[in-house]
Amino acid sequence: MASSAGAHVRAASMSTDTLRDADLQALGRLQRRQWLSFAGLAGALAVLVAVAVAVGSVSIPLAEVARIVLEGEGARASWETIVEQVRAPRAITAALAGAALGVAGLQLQTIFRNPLADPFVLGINAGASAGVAAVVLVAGTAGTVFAAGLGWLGDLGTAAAATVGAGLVGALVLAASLRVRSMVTVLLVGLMVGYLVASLVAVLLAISDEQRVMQFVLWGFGSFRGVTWSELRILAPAVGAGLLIAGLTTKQLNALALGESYAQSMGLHVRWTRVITIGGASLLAGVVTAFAGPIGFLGLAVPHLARAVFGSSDHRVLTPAVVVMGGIVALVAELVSQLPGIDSVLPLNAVTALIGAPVVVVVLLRSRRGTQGFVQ
Amino acid sequence: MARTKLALPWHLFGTWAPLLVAGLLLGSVIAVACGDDDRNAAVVEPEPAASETAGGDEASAVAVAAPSEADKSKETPPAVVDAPADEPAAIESVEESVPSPAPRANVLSGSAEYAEGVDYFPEKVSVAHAKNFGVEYFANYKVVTVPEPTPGGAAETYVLVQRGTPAPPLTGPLTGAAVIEVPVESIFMGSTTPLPFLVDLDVVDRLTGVASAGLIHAEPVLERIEAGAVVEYAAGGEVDAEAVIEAVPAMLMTEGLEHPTYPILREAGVAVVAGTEWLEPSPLGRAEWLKYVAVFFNREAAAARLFASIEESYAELAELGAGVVQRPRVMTGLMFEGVWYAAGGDSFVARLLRDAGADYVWADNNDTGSLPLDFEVHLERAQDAAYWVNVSLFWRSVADAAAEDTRYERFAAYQSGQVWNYTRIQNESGGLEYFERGVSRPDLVLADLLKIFHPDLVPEHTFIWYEQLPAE
Repeated sequence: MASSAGAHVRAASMSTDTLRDADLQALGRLQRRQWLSFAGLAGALAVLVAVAVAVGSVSIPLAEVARIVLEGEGARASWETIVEQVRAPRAITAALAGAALGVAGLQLQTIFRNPLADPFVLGINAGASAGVAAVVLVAGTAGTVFAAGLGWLGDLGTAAAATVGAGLVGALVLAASLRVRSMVTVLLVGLMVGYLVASLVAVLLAISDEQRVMQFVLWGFGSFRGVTWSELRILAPAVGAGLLIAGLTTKQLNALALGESYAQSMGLHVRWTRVITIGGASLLAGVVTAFAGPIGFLGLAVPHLARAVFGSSDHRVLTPAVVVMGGIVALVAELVSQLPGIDSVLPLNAVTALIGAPVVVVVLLRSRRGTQGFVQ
Repeated sequence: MARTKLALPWHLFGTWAPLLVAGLLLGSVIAVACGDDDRNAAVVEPEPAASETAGGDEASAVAVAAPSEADKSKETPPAVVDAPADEPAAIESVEESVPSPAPRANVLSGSAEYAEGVDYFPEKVSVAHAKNFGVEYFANYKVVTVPEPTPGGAAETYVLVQRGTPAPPLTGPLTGAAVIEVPVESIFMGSTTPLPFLVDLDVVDRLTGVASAGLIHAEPVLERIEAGAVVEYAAGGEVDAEAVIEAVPAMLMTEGLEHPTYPILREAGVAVVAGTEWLEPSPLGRAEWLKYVAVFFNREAAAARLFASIEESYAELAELGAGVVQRPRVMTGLMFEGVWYAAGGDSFVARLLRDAGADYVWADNNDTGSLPLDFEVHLERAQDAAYWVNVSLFWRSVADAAAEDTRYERFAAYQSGQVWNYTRIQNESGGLEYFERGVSRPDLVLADLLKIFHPDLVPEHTFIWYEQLPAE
């Protein structure tokens, strides 16, 4: 933790017991404040999930929603279906996707030591699109080239293709990270692979029927609304596994955040930490992209928000903070995208940045620590 | 990525993504212009317009039953076809006749009592032109297959069971098929194109939802919307799953694309059924989707009869076109950023042009969709073409073309002013009826085209959708 490191330095130089105690007290207060923030945010997340289940384009009385959630039955069968099959999976997907993208962003920002890193720099998104494209090429019948296959095997087909694509690109970047020393090189390799793969997709799109392209466009929007329970059965455990990896490597990430040589001197196996972290981030971002389509901004912004709000760069604090805040931001975006009174649903990717970017700017400007957090 | 909202994550495709997007966007606009893709077109185009004009012209053009009155009065089908709502007596008579085996006609409304071995669908359809759907009849159910429910997608199967009779076991080829009770009592339509089919089959009263009301032309449908009987479930392009589920439609016919929300609907028990008439490469194939829609309402008799007359009048007109000695050379489409998007040589536009006695400049091409061409390639091939049809929807005059790009002036058709588009019937918002009614009445489209190239062959015909753009 930056503050504790600073505290030690000061304490050493002053070398008086009283000051050290004061510092420790400050530290204790800070942690209390963090606990309070965390509890507040967790409460907010719970409220937002409840709101997401209670609110939708069809108005269902709150008491009915509660009855459906608690007892599993409501006044109308259609209401039950709406709450159980539409709203619940959407709320859960939003919370999971926000958490997953946020944590992936946090991991990548730390490991690349770059505040601009997010899941897209690894080409994961491009990989997912290419996965879809590749399956289409293989599955395409004579003459059909692209965007077939989006209906292939129903909905899971798209997700499977996207996951494989994201995974392959992730593996490529991983392999690079094992070969080369410099993380900047790995970052560049990730970007290049991303461009390369995106170009392949572009070529496929260019030589395909515009009718088929239309189908691809639908996938490219990014939305929490298309994820069903059967898809959640895959999405949730995968995100859980990715979050678990992140949760188990917080100390390693803390060490890495202080610099690779420092981490090495502490006995950290830097290479394996990289591999595990990039692998985990690929899993998180890949699986979310596969099911919900490309969703930008969250991966980049949520870690910064968390650093600013919690005034910390300790991953033991940040990781759970990002999980909760990612869920919050995603849910708010999802709720805003279907504001009552507006007939149409706004595209999620517009909303995330539209409401998120100003918030991040304000938070960053008001919190110097937010900008200092990751640059050691 | 193509015509979309603001939300696309550009970094996905790199900095030149906007170019790509612009290109694709154009592609779809072109497709619209070339008429390759009526469905897309419907998405782009808004609104209602007069259908009386079309109705009036139909009579003079070809002796084909007009949507409502004409076909009711003309021939009486073997069974009750009309008015499910106002003629319950007729329906009951069908119902009552069922227990004593062998109904003489399909059950048009309500349910039937089950008796084993009885053929509940004495009226059947066979498919002649359409490639993208098939119907197989069994005693009390029919199996509908759509080989390509989305572009390039895997085949889907639907089991349509006569209401009141047991569904067959979903094993073997029927595994995983959606089961739908027929005749369907409520339908949501994802595209405007099949709406005229509902009108022709006299089942508009079963329509309970449309994706977007602003896109619609068919008068009976507009009246029903006006009356508040229809839910608009995808006004902004995004399917509102809650609105669909709340309305509990018996089926939802898609726009032929797999929308991200459809899995949710399927899981919630809504029968999501493909509507991909726009993938048919032939004009009559598209129109034959009348039968596809009819199958869900047990209206095979009406569909077969109506389609037969359309088919016949198309054949008569095509014969006129085939007998032409002087075939004028015709080009289609428009240019975007140096790429010319023409109708593919095997597209339904190309087929219409051929049948209208024209020599389409890209007839030797094999594409069924739109054909992106380098400008110079197209210029060399088409600069002497006498006619230019299916141009940009945004041009109100020939001069508008040159205002957009002076290179259009290089074409002979531009210079002679022989520039035609299907924009004659449109409402104040610019919605084109061609994209809706033009699909179900290819014979009338063909008559329009014949009138352009060989006016003396169809002297009686007056233009329905096509018009010559004014010079200024």
